[in-house]
Amino acid sequence: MTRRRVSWTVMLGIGMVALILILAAVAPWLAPFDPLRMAVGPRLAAPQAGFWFGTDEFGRDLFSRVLCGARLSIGIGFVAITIGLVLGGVIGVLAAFSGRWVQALVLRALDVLYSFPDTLIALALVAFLGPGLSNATIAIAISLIPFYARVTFGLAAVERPKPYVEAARLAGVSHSRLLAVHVLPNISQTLIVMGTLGFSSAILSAAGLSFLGLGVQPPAPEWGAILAGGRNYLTKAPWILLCPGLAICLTVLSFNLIGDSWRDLVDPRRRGRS
Amino acid sequence: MLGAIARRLAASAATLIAVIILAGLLIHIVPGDPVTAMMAQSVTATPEVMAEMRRHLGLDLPVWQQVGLYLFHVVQGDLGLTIRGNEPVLTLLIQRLPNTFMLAVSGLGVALAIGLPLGFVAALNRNGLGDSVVMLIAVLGVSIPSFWLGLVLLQVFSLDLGWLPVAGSGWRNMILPALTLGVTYSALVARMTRSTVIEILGEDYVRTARARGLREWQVLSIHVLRPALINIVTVVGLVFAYLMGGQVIIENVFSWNGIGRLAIQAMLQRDYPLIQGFIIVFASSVVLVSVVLDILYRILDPRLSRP
Amino acid sequence: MTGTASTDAAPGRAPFLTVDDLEVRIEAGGGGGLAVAGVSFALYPGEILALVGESGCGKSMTALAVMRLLPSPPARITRGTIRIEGTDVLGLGRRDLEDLRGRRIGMIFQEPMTSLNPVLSIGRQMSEGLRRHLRLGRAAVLARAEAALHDVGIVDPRRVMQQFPHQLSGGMRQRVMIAAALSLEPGVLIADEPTTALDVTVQAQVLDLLAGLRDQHGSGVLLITHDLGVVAETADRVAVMYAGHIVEAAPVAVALQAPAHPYTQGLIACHLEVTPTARPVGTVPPLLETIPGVVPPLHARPDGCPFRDRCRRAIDRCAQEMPPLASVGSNHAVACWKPFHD
Repeated sequence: MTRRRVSWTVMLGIGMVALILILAAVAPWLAPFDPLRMAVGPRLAAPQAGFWFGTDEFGRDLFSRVLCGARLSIGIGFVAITIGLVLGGVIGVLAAFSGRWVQALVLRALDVLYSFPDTLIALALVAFLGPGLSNATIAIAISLIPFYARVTFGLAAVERPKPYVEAARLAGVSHSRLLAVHVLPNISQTLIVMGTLGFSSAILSAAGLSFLGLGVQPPAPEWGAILAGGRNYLTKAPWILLCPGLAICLTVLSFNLIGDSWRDLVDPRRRGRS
Repeated sequence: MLGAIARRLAASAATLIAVIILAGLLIHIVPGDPVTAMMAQSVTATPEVMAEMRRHLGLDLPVWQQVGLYLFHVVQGDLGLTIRGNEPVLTLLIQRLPNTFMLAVSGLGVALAIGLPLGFVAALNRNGLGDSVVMLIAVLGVSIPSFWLGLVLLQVFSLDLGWLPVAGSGWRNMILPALTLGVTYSALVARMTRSTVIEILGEDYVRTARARGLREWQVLSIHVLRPALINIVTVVGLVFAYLMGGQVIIENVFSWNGIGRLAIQAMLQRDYPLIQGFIIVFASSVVLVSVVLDILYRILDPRLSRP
Repeated sequence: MTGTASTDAAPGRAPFLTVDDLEVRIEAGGGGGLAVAGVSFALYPGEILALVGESGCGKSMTALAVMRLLPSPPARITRGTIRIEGTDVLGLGRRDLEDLRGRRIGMIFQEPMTSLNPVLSIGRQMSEGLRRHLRLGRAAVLARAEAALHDVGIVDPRRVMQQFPHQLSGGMRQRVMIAAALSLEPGVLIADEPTTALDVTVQAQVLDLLAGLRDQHGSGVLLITHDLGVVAETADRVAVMYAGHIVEAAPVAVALQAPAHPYTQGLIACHLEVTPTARPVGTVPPLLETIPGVVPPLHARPDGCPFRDRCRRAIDRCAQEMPPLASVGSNHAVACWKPFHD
């Protein structure tokens, strides 16, 4: 892949993400009803004027719930990625600038962790931390660490032999200062771009955890939690299933469209294999 | 070859020991007292019972002794007893393991059946229409939450059309979950197949085969497909691990009696020994499958099997 | 159109292969150009024609174009004709092309390490062409494959057929490639740097094989090489390529002893420099002789003669017009405005 045109799919992804971010930002003002208020309409009403996505079993407006759910999903994703990126980044940079044995050990451990699905790692952690918004976010953040650590390691390992690193060392810059002030700024831009790759994974994990009842708890309008509630009304009210599901699909798809062109380049599974 | 397999087995054993230690440590990330958390829903929880349980789980010992003891028990096949029902964790999990494996293997079969041809077609039409369509399907595939796809399939085929049962454990019940898993993970397979086949199409030996005047289908079905399949064996293990992970949720959607469903019940009831046991059994399955595939790869690739 | 370089070795006989005014363009983002810029030659039965030049001069592209195996994209044939025993190769459909390849024109490649399929046995790769083209029974195919391996000097063909490429040395693999190509008895064989990756002793054996093919089967061999030592030892005629053009064509003795093109002369001087054994014993080593500069890259090929920037004899006309390949003696043609011996 020598040429790097910005393809129309990436542009579409960026456009969709921008739209979703705007919708999430203005959700409280745009939503016709309070997403938590019951009996704003009839129970299990089909989509109609006034209730565009229909209503759920408590007569809550599904459109308002799905709209406000975007804030939760994006919020969880953002916080989890920030934590995961910082912790993974520290591990990756430290490993890249440490001795041979430490490096081998860390990489091996990361590879082992990486071979387990991130959703499952988050699930195992939540099982012990206990359910809830903040615990789910922490669990998802930790589940992203192996990926980010591996990516950061790859970027930092490229910097290590560069002249400026040697120059800083000769100038007597301390190890931690070298990493924080000299190396980190050089890779941070790429790292932040990589950061967006975690969004799709984080949103899917969050929805999965909430669907199982281990993440965000009802009545919060998290998409996975709405789906869990709608499970019992599959025949009577299929719209409870369709609307939040499509919301997850579209959000994850738009992040994937952006990240897709990079994924092959950074995927640790493909690195190292010729 | 035997040396390489031995090294692989040793590495796998080390991995499993690390997983067991981590699983043992997990109980210490429980905020507050784990026994109180476990007993929160129990009516019989007198202080005496709770003290007994604390002692039984070894929670009164220093952390390193607890983990050492846990490791010591696990390697002997003792995963402890469940909090609810006092049943041996290992027995419970082993009973359900065949169900889980059956579903996982069927799902993998579907994923390969869909993903391999799609990846092949995409690679052969590289940068063409077919490629774009397949890659777009692949992006869509990884963007759909598997449990939602499962719910939609359940709604359409079981409830609306009435073709398949909603719950149960017969082979007819396996169709939908296997299809759900297969469709979800076929995107991953298609991606990997595509990049492998593109790599092989550029190899000198493919050019040699063409120079020999073989028919194009012969070139593709022998000189490209064979090495491609051998390469793909190396990544099937990874697909399998991710598929097993997705299956934990899917088993709950379809009420499939596997270890995933058991695990979620345990998580909701805070049955910590059972969750720890699940983590260990899950990791062992994944590691075992990847070792088997590794050996298979070493047999299939003549460069490794015939030094 | 440039004059043909068909300095007929055997006038009166029909050539196996004729290439006329062949042009191959390589597309690259902003920097494409002609890799082969109007090349013409003919290859007759029972001769070895060497196509000589530095890497990047277009000789391998010419060979791949003849086989219609150019990597496409980015390369594509934009002009010219290629005929094999009268068949218009460029006009053939896929199936006809597949019938032609291997059977009437074979090719061996320069990378013995990567040109055999690592996951298929030697026997399989030896016999698939025979099965495909000759439609023989299993036993007959095996017998032919064994005989072909024996002919290239492999003493235990039966054992080698059971083996896989990685179990053989580079020289053995190259023999297997040659045997596989020869077993189909093609009228024309293209050998692209067949000896480059091999030890000197094995080189000589491989070259003997090619000579044997010419002498015993009367095949025509197009030998692509950068090594003038190989040319001197094996070839009957030489066509020297530079930057996509044939700049000189002559019988091997004429080309090596009385080159008319400054580039050919430079190549010979370089060769004497790096291979002292090629110099008669007792003679004084010549002064360090090199051709200054490099082959101009594809996208920056100037008008006129592409060699002129590296040529000491360049005149004004060289910058304006590419000289045509013109006869300067019997069977000797050169594309130069100021050749030697005029």
